[in-house]
Amino acid sequence: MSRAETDAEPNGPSGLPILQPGPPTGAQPMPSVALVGNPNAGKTSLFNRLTGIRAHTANFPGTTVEHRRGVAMVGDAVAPRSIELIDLPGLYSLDAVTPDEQAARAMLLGELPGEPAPEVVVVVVDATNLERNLVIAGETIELGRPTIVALNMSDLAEGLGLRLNLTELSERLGCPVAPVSARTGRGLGELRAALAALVEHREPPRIDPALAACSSCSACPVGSAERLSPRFEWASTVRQAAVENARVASHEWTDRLDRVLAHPVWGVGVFALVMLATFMLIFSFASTPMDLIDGLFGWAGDTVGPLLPEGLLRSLVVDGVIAGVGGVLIFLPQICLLFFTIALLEQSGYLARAAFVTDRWMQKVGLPGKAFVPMLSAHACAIPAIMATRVIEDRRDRLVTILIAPLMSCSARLPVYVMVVAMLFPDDPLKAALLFAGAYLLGITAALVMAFLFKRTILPGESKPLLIELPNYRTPSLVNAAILTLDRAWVFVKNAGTVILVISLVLWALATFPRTDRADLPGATQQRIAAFEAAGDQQGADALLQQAQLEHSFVGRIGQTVQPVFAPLGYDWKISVGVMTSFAAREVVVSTLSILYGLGEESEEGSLVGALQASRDDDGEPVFTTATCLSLLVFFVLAMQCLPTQAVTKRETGSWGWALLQLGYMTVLAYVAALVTYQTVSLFGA
Amino acid sequence: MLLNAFIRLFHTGRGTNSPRSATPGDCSVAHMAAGSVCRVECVSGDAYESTRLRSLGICEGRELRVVRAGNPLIVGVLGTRVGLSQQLAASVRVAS
Repeated sequence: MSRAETDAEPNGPSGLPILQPGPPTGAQPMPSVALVGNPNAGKTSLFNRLTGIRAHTANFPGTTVEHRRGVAMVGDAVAPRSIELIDLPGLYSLDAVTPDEQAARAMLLGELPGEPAPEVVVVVVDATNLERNLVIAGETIELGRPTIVALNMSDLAEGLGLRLNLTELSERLGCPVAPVSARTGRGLGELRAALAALVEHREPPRIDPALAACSSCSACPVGSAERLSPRFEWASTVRQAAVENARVASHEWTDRLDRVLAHPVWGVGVFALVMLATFMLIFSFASTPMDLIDGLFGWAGDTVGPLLPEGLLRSLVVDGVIAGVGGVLIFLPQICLLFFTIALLEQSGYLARAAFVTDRWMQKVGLPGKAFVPMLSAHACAIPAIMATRVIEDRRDRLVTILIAPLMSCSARLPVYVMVVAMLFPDDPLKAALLFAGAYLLGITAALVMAFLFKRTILPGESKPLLIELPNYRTPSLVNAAILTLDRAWVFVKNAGTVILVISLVLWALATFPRTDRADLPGATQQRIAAFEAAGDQQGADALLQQAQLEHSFVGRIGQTVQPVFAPLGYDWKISVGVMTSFAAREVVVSTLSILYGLGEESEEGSLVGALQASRDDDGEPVFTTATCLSLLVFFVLAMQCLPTQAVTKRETGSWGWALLQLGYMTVLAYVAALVTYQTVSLFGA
Repeated sequence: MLLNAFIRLFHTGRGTNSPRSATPGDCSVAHMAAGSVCRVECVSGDAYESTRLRSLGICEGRELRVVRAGNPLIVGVLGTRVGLSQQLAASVRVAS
């Protein structure tokens, strides 16, 4: 979907055999400049500094790997010039193994179809960590493209007492070096000026003979010691030449913090506390904006409704469009808060430690430590959780995590849990709490068991052994986290929003057509409605009319048709309709049941529970027995029932196949588990 | 490729360069005590894992410092720390 955005690029049409950037031509108004560097070198901060908010997320052609690109102004105020800046995924060296690294490498070498190689390259180097960062710098310079090295975090390096000889460094690298600080904005003016000059003159770097000696054996296989070892030597020599004082930058703080945070026991405890705090923050802070959004859409419906003529159009706009869009946007505050917190934790360097300490436990079910945070996030909402699985390098590990994420009890399940628990234990808080905890536990257990099974069946393979850089702790930047959050939120609204809107419209149509006028209803129903009106209960009359109309609509007919399928689970046709209508969003089941069991949409939870408990089937037996309630609860714990999640699964995996598999296995799991629950509980006469 | 793998199958750890040569007494990073400093002699194992290790600086000729022993362990290399599992550490042969 985000591919469409790449159409606006100033580059030539796809399929052009572009191998090397030639001299600038008039046909390309905006030169493309790529940002290359290690993960944790601060590339994204620099990108945000240079482009501001004039950037968007796009996919590399033919891949699901995302990157940010945007327009930046270089030069000075007198002669500004726009360039297209591309933020490539982080690379330690050109020996790429993960999909992200491979995409970055292919982009840099101009191997992507329809995506010419960048004309100018900016290598972002962490000044406090020269030796490690110079490896990719050397490899990039060797490509012979006009290159500039942005020496990021130069202020931190000074603070650590590192004195760098920039002339010497520039001499060794054979290209200009610009000290900057993406955090404070220092040195950005000079970088812009240097970039403008480079874009103008396209001066290639002078390749250090020592470096050229390494590349003489470029025939070496990727990742081999022969290829990389001399490059580390070179990086080490350059660092020694460029650092004037022998004092090595101290990482005392990091060492001190790691004694606790990376400890096998304490580390897990701290991590649990951090995550607990994160969720408390999300649940407490998100409720206000969620209520606001809910109120806003309610108000929009109430305001727009009377402006439209009574009838189909009004119903379409109010019940279809407004309710549908509101249903998606209500999750936005939680998603934003979660992304914001995770972005801060990641920038601070803590997330790497979290993966480090949980790895041992996750390996037991065959998942890497990096899958832990997404699985935890899924308790708030599966959508950001699935987006957060991008940190997992191994494709199979990532797919398994995506497949099981929706089994965690997300916040949309809460209304359903509340309804069922209130029906079963209206005045026993202890049992209610236990049942609640049981629902959560069931989701977690099912997820771990399914992960175990997937790793042994369709996605076999050992989970990749842990290997992770533990960067030095840093103060995170709120601005960067905010930009990242806004970007993610926008992607979510665009992609999930369009799909769920279509589905809400379809559901609205199914629940509205065929239209049954009051005059066409069976006589007995008409009499009951008239009786309500005679008693002055207009609300009751309307609810009854709504109920009767829904019963005769497509959804009602479908519900009555599929009811035999759900009969072994203890559901009558009305609950079956609830299961059908909540296909797109699980919390819809509450409003559907309230319509079907003879209340208006605006029912209070208490009265709904009362109405449900009082409902009787044709034989006068209660509909909601303990067995039915438990079966319903189990079904909703395990069933997919969330279209936005499906849309995101499709987007992240690149195919509907995985989304369908997710839907299929979860539905089967939910059905079988609910069946077993109902039959077992019925057997014991509850 | 396949032939190599085949040869490796029948090459049961007699050569010093054979992969998975992490028997006790062998000097892999997995057996180093916290605080010790050593130089990498050989990174073995499959191509994917050894490439990842080398890219992060755990490469022939580099010096490592063991920051935390155990599973997973932390080594300091090229000025930052790298966390890795025992399984990977066993494929990194070192000389102290």
